[in-house]
Amino acid sequence: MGRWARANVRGYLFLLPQFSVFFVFFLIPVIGAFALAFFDYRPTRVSFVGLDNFRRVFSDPLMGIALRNTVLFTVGVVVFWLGKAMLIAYLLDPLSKRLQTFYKSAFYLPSVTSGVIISLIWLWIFNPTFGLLNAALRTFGIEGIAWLGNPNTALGALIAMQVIMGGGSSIVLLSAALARIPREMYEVAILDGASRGIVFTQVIVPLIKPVLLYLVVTGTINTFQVFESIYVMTQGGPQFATITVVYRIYQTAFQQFQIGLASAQAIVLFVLTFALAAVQFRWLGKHVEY
Amino acid sequence: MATRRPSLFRRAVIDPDHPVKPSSAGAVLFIGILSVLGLMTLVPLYWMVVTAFTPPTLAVRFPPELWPSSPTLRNFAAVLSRPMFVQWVINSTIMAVVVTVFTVLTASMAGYAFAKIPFAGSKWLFWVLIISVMLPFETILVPLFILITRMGLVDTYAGLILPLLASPFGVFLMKQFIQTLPSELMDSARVDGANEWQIFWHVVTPLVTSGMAFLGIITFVAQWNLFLWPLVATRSSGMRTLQVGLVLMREEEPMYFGLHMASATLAAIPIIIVFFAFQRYFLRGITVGAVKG
Amino acid sequence: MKIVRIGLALALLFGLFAFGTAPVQAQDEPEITLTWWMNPWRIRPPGFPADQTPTGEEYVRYIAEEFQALYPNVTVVTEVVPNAGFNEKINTAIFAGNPPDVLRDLNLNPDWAREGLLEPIDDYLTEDDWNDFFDYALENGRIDGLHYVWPWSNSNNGMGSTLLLNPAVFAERGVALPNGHWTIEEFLEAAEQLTFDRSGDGRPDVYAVTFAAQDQLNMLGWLHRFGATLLNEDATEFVLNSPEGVQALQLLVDMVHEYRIAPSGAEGMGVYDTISNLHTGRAAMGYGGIYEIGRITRSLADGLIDEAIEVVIAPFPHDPEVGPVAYRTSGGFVVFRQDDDYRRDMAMELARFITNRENVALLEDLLYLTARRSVNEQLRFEEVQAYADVGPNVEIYLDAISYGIPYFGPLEVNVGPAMDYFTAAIQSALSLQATPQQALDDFVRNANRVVFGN
Repeated sequence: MGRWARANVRGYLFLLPQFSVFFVFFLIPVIGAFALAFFDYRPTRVSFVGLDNFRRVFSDPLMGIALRNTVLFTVGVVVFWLGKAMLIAYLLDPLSKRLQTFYKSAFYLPSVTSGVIISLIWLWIFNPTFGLLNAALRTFGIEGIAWLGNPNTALGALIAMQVIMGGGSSIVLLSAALARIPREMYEVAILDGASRGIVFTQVIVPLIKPVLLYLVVTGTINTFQVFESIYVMTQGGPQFATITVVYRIYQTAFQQFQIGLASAQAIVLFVLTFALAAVQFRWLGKHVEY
Repeated sequence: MATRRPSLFRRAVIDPDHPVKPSSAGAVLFIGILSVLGLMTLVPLYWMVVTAFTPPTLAVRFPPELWPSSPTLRNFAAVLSRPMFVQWVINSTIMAVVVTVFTVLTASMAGYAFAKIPFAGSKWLFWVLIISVMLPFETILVPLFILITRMGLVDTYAGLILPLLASPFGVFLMKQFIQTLPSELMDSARVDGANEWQIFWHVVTPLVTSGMAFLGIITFVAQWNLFLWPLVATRSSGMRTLQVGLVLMREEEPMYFGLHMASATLAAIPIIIVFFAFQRYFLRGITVGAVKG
Repeated sequence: MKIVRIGLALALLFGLFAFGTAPVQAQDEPEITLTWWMNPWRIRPPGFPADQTPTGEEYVRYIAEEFQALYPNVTVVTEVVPNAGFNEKINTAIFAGNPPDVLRDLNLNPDWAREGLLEPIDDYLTEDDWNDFFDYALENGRIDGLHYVWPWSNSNNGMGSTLLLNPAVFAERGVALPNGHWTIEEFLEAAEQLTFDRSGDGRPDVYAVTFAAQDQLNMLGWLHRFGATLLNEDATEFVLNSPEGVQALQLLVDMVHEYRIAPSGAEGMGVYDTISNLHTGRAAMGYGGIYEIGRITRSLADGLIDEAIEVVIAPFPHDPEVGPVAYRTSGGFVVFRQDDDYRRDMAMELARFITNRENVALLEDLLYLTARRSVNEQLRFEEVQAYADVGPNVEIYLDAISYGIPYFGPLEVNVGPAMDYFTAAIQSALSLQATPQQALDDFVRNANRVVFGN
């Protein structure tokens, strides 16, 4: 065994089990999907079309709306969802273990239900005539509206749903990260006379960066790919106010039968995701060790 | 100066070891905020369970009932009497358990390698992993299914499960967990003559059980609720998973909301069991004392 | 039921005699497996207990077993595929080169035929088939001059074809039920009476009818009232923004905002809102045909409603100058390309078997009309006889769809990509964000772009 192999083989051996399935069943299809973007891919014939599919992506006005909606949705969801999770984890941290367990369970519980069911429940909550939300508003004398039928409120309503229902697992993760912060770090800061705010930004945030990075990156990627709730609740409507990139991809690939074009649409989404993730890694990705 | 014993309230509510303890009024405020946010999260779920126990009726009560006035089990009976229901549960269980066990183990190993073992191409391989999840599943579905078809795995457990074993996010998560462990721990074990596997198994995994439990839970939940891939990858009714079966049931009764919610409640039970079985590991971060040893 | 059976047996016998197409199976035929996919249809096969409700599985299993009894060398593998995910499942299978052999044509894409993925059925249709299937049912499966769909069901559940009226509400308000066809003016007069405040809180709690923007079929039904059509006659251009189309959309907007005979929030509702409003007495009128009467039976059996509501079918109101218009369609089965002649023959045989007289008649259990003339004449729809006098309802329904047109134009034009724009136009008009003219102009411009590329 050469020096190079000896130096590296330990790492590769640890990667081997996960990467063998990853390469075959994940990376190959992903590369396939990338390649599809440059073809007119039909079941009976395949022809190379260069950048044609991309030209068609950019000449599709719905794709522009979908990109805008997707970015708005992602920013809204990630900011509020993570903010909520941070707030809750932070409030929970000094509480007794029993209370922590209770609240964490409560916040986690909605995660046990599938997204489709959550969407069905929220369809009822948003129902204009007999939904929970409008019933609640009416007790305050406010006349509700068709939340998902109004292009001005539909996307916001979906964001609100995602933020309220989401966050269970991120709270658990953030809580664990907070509990791992060495107590001495606090004590030093307190001795220095730091305020709560300073402790939070100067002590806590830097120390939970690895978890934050994971949450921000995976949250962004997952939210960028929102599909299920759109499919169940609005089908992209009203008036395309909630059409998202992946919903558009679904229509292109599986309703219009244009798999190459759908891949090109996905690559546009990919570039956006990649740029954001790169920024996030730069911002939060510094190696941290306690 | 004698320290006063904290009041019963403070002992019940506040972590006595926490360096930044809130005042009693602050704790009440904390609990208030948490309760409001918690209620918002739980109301939809509560309504799901209540509806599951409510006699089916289209005449939705307005305002909604907080407690079913005449609770019934007939919605559950309708779900459970479905032929093949047990087979669906078995298939979903096999799929979710196999994927979860494999993912937790192999993603931890890979995460450890990325976090603590220097090797050529480490950074590059990690980025391949992260980048690969940036294409939505809808676009890789067709290439993936072509692959499974070429391998002759359509409608087999292997074809159903193998593609689910890859977990880029799992590797990412475990890397993030493991990278915060002090490297001295591993170095001192290495000095003591432990090999890399022993270090991983005896030193690293005990310190990241909460991370592994977390990964296990989210993996299990994700697999249990999976719909599209099991639908596409399987063909015979004996291979059908629970979620696919339940979607079929809901479509046969599109307006029978009580049935939908009973099916969702039943489907959630295994997850709740797994959750409470593992919450000991899952909900509590490991204490720092253990790390610092 | 007995009469039906005897009639069918006679018809079958006649068919065999006259055309001699009885399948004859040679001894040495190869063992083959055929796959058949279908979305869930809860049809009760013969022998199924009367007091139980079937799932989507029993019907396909029954047909498969009967077919296997005829052809012991053929194994039929069936799969009930949910509507959610149907597109993904079938398209993925097509791209991987292993689609089912026989498929219910949910969302049939004309490109499949053009790509050579489907087998034309022209050579397999007998003289008797050509005569017995409704012309429009065969026409519905025609792409570039060849037929691809074995016709099966007729005009679906009646959405976009007819209205369902609740006579109890009509009686409560002293409004006479329409006697056959009625004009839009007569409809509006009745509707005004049928919208009222039952609880006395000053706001109406019963409306004449429900409009739901996401309910494309019934919305198209209303838009066709003054003679507008989605496409021009040659099916080369969208023309729904014609004066007739604008007039119809204006009427819809007025009915919600001016006459207030339908609940507001139409822009946020879908077809199930129209159904549940009818079932729960919040609307005096809903939509659908015979099948929707059966839905009431099932709602009752499931406990969704406490008591059966009696409903009668009525045609959509019409403009005297234009005359009645209704939606007419059909559904059926396609056969995917077969490289082996024997497999092709047997796949065709399976599709023929599903759609033969005896087996299309099973649709009666779901209160569906069939694509076969001879069978429809025999159907009695006894299941709802107890509370709905189906006889006249069937007649009204058949009469209504005799004025039927295919709302979406010929199958050759895939209008699918345009229909989201249609819903958007209805929503923007019903929420008063655009005038009917603006909304339909928008729709037509976009639809022509995405479908015809201009």
